[in-house]
Amino acid sequence: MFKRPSRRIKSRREDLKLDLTSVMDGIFTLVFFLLMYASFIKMFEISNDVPIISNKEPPDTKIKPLALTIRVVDDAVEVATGLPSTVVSVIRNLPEGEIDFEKLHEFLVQLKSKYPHENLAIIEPNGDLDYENLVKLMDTAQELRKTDLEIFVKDNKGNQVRAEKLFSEIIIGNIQS
Amino acid sequence: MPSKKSIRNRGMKTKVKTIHLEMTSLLDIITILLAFLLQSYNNSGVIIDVPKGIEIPKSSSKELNNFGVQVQVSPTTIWVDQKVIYDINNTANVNIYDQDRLRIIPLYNELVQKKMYSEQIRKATPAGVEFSGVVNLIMDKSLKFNYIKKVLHTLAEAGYKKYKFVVMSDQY
Repeated sequence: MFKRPSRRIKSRREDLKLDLTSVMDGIFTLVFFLLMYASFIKMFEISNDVPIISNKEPPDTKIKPLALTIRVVDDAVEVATGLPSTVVSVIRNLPEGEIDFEKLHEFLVQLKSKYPHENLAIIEPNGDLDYENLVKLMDTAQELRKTDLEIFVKDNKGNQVRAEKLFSEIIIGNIQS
Repeated sequence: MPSKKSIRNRGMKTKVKTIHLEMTSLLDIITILLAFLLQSYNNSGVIIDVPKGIEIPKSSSKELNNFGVQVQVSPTTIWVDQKVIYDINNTANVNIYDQDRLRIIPLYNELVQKKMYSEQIRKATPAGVEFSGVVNLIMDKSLKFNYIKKVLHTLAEAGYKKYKFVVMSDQY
């Protein structure tokens, strides 16, 4: 015969419940803060400085400046260097009439590999160039892609580091005329 | 009046049960939302206002925006900090240029006023920040350089030396 069951109440194991109220409060505050500062369309900028015309004598240095100028003409892009400016390459537009940005980029990478310390590029667009192509031109002059030739420059501590940009300082040259 | 309660339960207090909400799924959603919002968080803190009629070009630039006066230019209208200063529909026959048709007078006047206002604030407040000369340019991608040149020339004339072309990221 079975033993009569005990009448004592068995101690039940209570479920552990975490008190998440304060965590939820924190998360909700964070969600509202992030919603306020969220930008669903990512916007960035391309910096540009006003060209300054100076009457002073240029600094007497042994290193000749590259003085890179990218000039947009009717059916091509001219790349000029040196003082006085000499055209070193003419990149013809594509048959559709668009600027051959790839070819221009390749040439600028070659130029940068020869003058790794140079960061300045002057862009001289013609009047008919639209803003979209002007931005593309600035991108072409600035962007150093991962697939491009590795170019090393010295950082502030004198260490050799990979250059992140081709020509980081862009100036639009012909705004005064 | 006699109570309907059984005499056996008379001494026992009625316990109010604690309700525990099941929050696992809610927490899942909030975590996903949090990850999404963190990803689209605007690090620069600058709010760029793009008026109707302006389509910003795409770029591979990753430079964060800076605080400055916002100049918005569409083919028909020019705004400075969201205030319309020139509208071709309202001022079609008025000459707005000077200096060999390079300077846009209403834009110049507004920018000079902004600069003066900024200088006044700097003088009036002990920890006033110096005029930065930064201008955020929000321009339509179809604008020709002939027109952009005039805008840039006007900005330079008004004392704004740092142009920031606002562009849209080409990556999502």
